[in-house]
Amino acid sequence: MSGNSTDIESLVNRRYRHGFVTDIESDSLPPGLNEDVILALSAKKGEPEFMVQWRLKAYRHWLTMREPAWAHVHYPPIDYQAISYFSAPKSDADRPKSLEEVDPKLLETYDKLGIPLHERAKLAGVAVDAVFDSVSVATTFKSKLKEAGVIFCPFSEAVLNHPELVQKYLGSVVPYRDNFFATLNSAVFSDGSFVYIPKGVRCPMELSTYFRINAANTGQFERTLIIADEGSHVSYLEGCTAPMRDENQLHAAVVELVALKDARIKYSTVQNWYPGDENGKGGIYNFVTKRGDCRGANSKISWTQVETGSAITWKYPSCVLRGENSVGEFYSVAVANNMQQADTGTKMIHIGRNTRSTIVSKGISAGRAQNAYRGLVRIMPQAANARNHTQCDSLLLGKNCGAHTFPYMEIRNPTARVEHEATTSKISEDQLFYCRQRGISEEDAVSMIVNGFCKEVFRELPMEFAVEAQNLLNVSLEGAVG
Amino acid sequence: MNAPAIRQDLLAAAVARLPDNGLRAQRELALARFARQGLPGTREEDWRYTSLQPAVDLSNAWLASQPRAVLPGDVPSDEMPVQPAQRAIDAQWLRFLNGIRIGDTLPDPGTISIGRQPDDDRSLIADDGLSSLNAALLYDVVHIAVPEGVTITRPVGLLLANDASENASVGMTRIVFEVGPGASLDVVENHLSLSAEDSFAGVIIELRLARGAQVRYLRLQECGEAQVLTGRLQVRIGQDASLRYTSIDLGGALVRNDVAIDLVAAGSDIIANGLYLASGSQHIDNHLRIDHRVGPARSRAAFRGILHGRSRCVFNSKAIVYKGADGTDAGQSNHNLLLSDQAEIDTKPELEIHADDVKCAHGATVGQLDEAALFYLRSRGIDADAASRMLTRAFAASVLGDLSVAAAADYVAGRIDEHLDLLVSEPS
Amino acid sequence: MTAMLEIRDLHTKIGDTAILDGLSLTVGSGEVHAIMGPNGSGKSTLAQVIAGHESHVVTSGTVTYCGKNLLELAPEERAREGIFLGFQYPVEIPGVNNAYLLKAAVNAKRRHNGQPEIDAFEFLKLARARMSLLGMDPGFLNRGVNEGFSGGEKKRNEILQMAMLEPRLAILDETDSGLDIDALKAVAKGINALRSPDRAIVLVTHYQRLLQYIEPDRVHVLSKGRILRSGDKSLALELEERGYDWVREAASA
Repeated sequence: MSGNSTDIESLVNRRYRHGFVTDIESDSLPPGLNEDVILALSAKKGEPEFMVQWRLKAYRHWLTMREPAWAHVHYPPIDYQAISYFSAPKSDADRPKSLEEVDPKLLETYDKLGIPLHERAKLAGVAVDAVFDSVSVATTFKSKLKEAGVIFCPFSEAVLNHPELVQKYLGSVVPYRDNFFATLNSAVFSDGSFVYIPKGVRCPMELSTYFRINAANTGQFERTLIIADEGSHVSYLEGCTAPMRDENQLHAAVVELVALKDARIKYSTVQNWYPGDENGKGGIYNFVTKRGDCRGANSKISWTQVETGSAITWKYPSCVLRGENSVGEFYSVAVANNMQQADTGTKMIHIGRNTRSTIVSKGISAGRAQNAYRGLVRIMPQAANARNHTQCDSLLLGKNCGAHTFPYMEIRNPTARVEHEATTSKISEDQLFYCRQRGISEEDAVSMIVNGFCKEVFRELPMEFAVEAQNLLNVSLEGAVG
Repeated sequence: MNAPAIRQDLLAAAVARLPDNGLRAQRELALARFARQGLPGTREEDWRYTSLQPAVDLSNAWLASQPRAVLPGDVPSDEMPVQPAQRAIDAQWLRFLNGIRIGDTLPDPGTISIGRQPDDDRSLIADDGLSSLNAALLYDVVHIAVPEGVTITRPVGLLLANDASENASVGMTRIVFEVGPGASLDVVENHLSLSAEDSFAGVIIELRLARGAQVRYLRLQECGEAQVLTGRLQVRIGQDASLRYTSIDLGGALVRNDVAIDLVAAGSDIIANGLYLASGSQHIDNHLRIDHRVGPARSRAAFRGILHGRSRCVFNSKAIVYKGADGTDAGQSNHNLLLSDQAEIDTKPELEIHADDVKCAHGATVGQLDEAALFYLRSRGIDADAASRMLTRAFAASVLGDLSVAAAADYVAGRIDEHLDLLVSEPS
Repeated sequence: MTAMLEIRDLHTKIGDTAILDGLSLTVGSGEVHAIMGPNGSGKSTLAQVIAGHESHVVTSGTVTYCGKNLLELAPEERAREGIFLGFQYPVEIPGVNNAYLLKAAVNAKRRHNGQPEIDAFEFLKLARARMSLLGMDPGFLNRGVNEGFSGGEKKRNEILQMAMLEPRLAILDETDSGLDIDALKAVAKGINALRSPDRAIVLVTHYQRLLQYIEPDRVHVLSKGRILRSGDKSLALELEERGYDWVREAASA
């Protein structure tokens, strides 16, 4: 095997030296995956050698792996050779010139969600030059961040401008061998975000706001790396409540978070990819690997997610609690309606002493959807005085959906305290009647009760997003009851 | 990581050596199935924490010795010494040695019928590697029936003994209970080892409760330190029937207990509780599965464990509520005390729900004794050691409050106490 | 002037069981009526039928409210038309803020009446004023609806909602049950404060004690789904003394 791979490497290097001049000029690569495609992809981005080699290592390992089948989800086999692994973003010429040219239905949804006016054009894909407001807002943000010494840029830029940081931290939380989809991502990732918060710096703004305006079309294999150096704080929000459509069915993103001593990272996600129609046709497969490493003492990583989109969601944002006294949190609302399937949860790996973790998962199932919580709490032998509390609640709206709970607790230290509670319920007739007797319509009563069910999670979201998330929930569950 | 393998050729030879007492066809069928199924490996979700490698090694060694089939006549009924549970619990005992029933007295001959499973009954469970292996190596199947409306006042005791001293280190037991409509029965299943040698016992018990039947069932596992035991209780619960089940694990080297309760009609009521005490390098795995196919029905499961030494315990409960099983009320809990820094508990309480008019909840905890309670006791003049024993005992004693078979209460309480004393005195 | 609420020969059932069996009742504006009766007589059913609970099926009879056929309206429409039911067992709605529910309810009604909605600031001002009237802690507003409330707190919360929604017809179902004497007095005080010439109140109760604090204009005794006897407040005292059997015997004689 090893001799063989040397041959491959030499072959690869030779080809790489010659490059793919014509391919680089073109906007996209033909479908299919092989080492040539990876080399071409890397060459298009002008990546340094370490990056190319890392991608190739990942690809070669991927070839030895099998697609996982353990999750509570079902989908037809994916043809990885039918996917195009590089395509340039749409040029401005193909985009709507102003909001007037945008599908009114989409605008109506923005309205329901309460998306600020100045963000709508960007979200609807209006050519950037036409969006004067957001450009100026973004410029202000940029200078503020620069002043604070925060690095926040597309991943591909970080590879070129901060190779030492990328090389040091990339794959240090999610190794390229980690799992089938993460390994595929490592080989072919397109772009994503890179954040570095220097020692002692509190990031002067929610990176959410900035990100929403500047989110590039990062495609289906997104890679995000956030490093919070000692004593720094950052709050980052990915995604958006606005419905995101994408032609790519498979999304296999990787997010790595590193929190050094005394650092705090708050990572919030609102995921609303196209879920497919009522009959389960179309929709995104969202197979994501998200992991945070509380590497230093007293560090804290907090995941908050509101998952309403995608035909299939398969993600387990996790915390590796390595540093003493480090804290991991996971707050999740997962909605599955119609034919959606969600298998989501978290892993809390307690390694350091006095580490603590909290898991609050709220699953809502409607239509014919299947919604599973899958979570692992592992207390390693050296993790003295570790604490975990897990609360895992499911709400069923209708008779044809499913709600499942698969919690794993692996406890190897006698000083650990681990508690898991789970409940399953439906909206009771009594609650509905009570609200209606107060003059509230049935539909409003349902959304009120559902939002109440999710309250513990919503209050963890950045303020301006909490309201949108509530509206999103209502939109996602439209027609689910009654 | 691969699934452990039993040598199929040796197994086939052993099956062929068993006498043709009418079961041959079923054994051959099970043998063929086993060839396809094999034993489950740790890659399988239900076996991720428990490896059957020791059972495979014991089986292969035993098969390689070309064991002669052990027959009922080989064990004179008076040779087996009277066991503690027999003395202490007033029950109608049926004795089994390495899976073969010995002695010929019929308890309650007027009411309970004990016989062979009819040879043409093809319902013998062989749906996974363990049950097929069991079926292939069975000498016989014991069938116990309680007729409609009959209440059996004295419990039926199953003394399941293993003796590996004569190179009979693998034994398979299969018992089927048929409890008629409205009938009532107590069962005590007592596992023990008569020799200190390594041995592997596979026990499968089927329990079928007809409409309105009531069964109180106690499993009391007191195997020796070298015993590998896989047990399965497969229960089918008819309309308005009720089951009270208690499982107590005290012994064994590697023990797996699968309890599967299938609620096929409305109105049934299940309470299942259990206690596992583990120390040394014991590995005790309890898997409980409750299929709520129809509602309304209620199930409650509560298991507790106390772990010491380098022991490892596994608890997995699974409640499945089928589409349309409205009115299901399922609750599960699992609480564990870890007393040593080398012990490990892996617990996984699962819910799989496909109906909305249900009430389902589960809870699991891993922790230590309540410090406030410890302090309280000490403030009343009780020394720390005695206080922690007291609280440990109280933690275990909750299973006694709900013990399924009342006639066994004193014996079980005594045995738990003895084990707790050993457990607590073991250095951590 | 027509009566506010006019019930004529009302028959209802729940599942296959008949509950109300030819009940007739007339309630005029400004009046306070007490409906008394033993357990199982149909008191709560009457309250729920007026509010529109869908588990009760009206098999015959009419209910007219302010000249409208009440039975045609959905529960929320009845509420917006001014009918308030004080629940015997107020429902817990975890995570839903008390103030949020109340504001949504107030504004639903205002919209219905063509009035502008009130904003959060105005709402809070109003709520605080009403709460001080009822002697309630303002912290109440920020808790989940009835979540973890004591029995007394739940009942007080019902009266607060009533005070905020300013109904034309309030039906208070066993609002006195489970209250200690101080809570009972506080609740009664709240109800009395809401008495007004354009408002009718129907008190559904098992015992006379609430009526010591709220003086009714009319008292009705309900048994087996129909009103056996009506009278003034002295009927309540007589009942307390002689028990429900007395009415039943008198009726069957």
